[in-house]
Amino acid sequence: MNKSISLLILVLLFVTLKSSSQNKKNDSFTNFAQYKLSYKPDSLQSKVMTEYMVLMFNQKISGFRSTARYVRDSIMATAAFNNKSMPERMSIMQRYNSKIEEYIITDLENKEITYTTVAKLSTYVYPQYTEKITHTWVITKQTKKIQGILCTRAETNRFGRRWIAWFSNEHPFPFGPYKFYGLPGLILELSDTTGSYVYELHNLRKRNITYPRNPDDNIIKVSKLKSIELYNTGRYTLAMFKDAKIEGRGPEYPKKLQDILDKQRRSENNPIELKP
Amino acid sequence: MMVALVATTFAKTYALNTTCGTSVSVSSGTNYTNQQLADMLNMYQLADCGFVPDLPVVIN
Repeated sequence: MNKSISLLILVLLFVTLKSSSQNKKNDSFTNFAQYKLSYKPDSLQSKVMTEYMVLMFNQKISGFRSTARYVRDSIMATAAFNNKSMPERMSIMQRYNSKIEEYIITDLENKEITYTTVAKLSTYVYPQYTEKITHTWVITKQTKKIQGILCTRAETNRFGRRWIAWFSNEHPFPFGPYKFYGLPGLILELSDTTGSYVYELHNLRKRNITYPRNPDDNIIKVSKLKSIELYNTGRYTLAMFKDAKIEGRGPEYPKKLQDILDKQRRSENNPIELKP
Repeated sequence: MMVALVATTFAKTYALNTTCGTSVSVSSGTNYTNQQLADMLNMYQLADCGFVPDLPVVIN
């Protein structure tokens, strides 16, 4: 009996360590591209939001993250950050706010996308799903220069939108922004035909980068639909405050916070994936 | 021999200061991560000040 329990503990320890070591796995990239993303979260308004996005890649995989999160991940991993006082840490965190929380890995060999986001519940969890995507690109003869680099136009339908990509044969890396890949060269510009999402190359350079496969702990593997559901619960409800006691504010304060989130939900009606 | 495990929860209080001069205290039985505290601060910031600091971050 005791032997069985010891064996069980050993097996559980092994599984935990294996899971932990998988979570701590790093990827090495040799190239860095940064895109300016202009997007319209509200299809009823003309307001355009801007974020910069980082694409790290080698010949086999790419990682895609908002620049703000990319920089913040690096800062938070330092001892200097963790030794600061809480107000100082919050001040730094606020400098790197981002509305785009996801980290997207594209694995060329397996034609597999791994998507990780955050669910802001009373304890944060990081839903992760994988999906097999093969884009059907139509490559045209149309060309143009982007930052002096000759690019060719390609088109595809995906996520309920028609997408136009401009890729460069001079940079034979088949990656691009978001979940787009599979062209003969790097995508330097990508937009949907409604102009709701536009990625434009900001800079491109060789750079050796080591980046964690999972920048956050508490990863939970779920379906794509469950991931969207969890993300929305965290984004549009007061789930993160479930176990919190807010002091010095009246009983109407949670209602005020929920009203803000309801307004936010109404204004974010134009997701990149109209058909997930 | 029986061993009783007793979990004791200590309430921890965090004071979060917005950029428009207000402050909110949050207490909880669990420790919050920096990300959680930053997100809570952003919510209070929106409620009290009407905005969150939102300058695009770019690497040049």
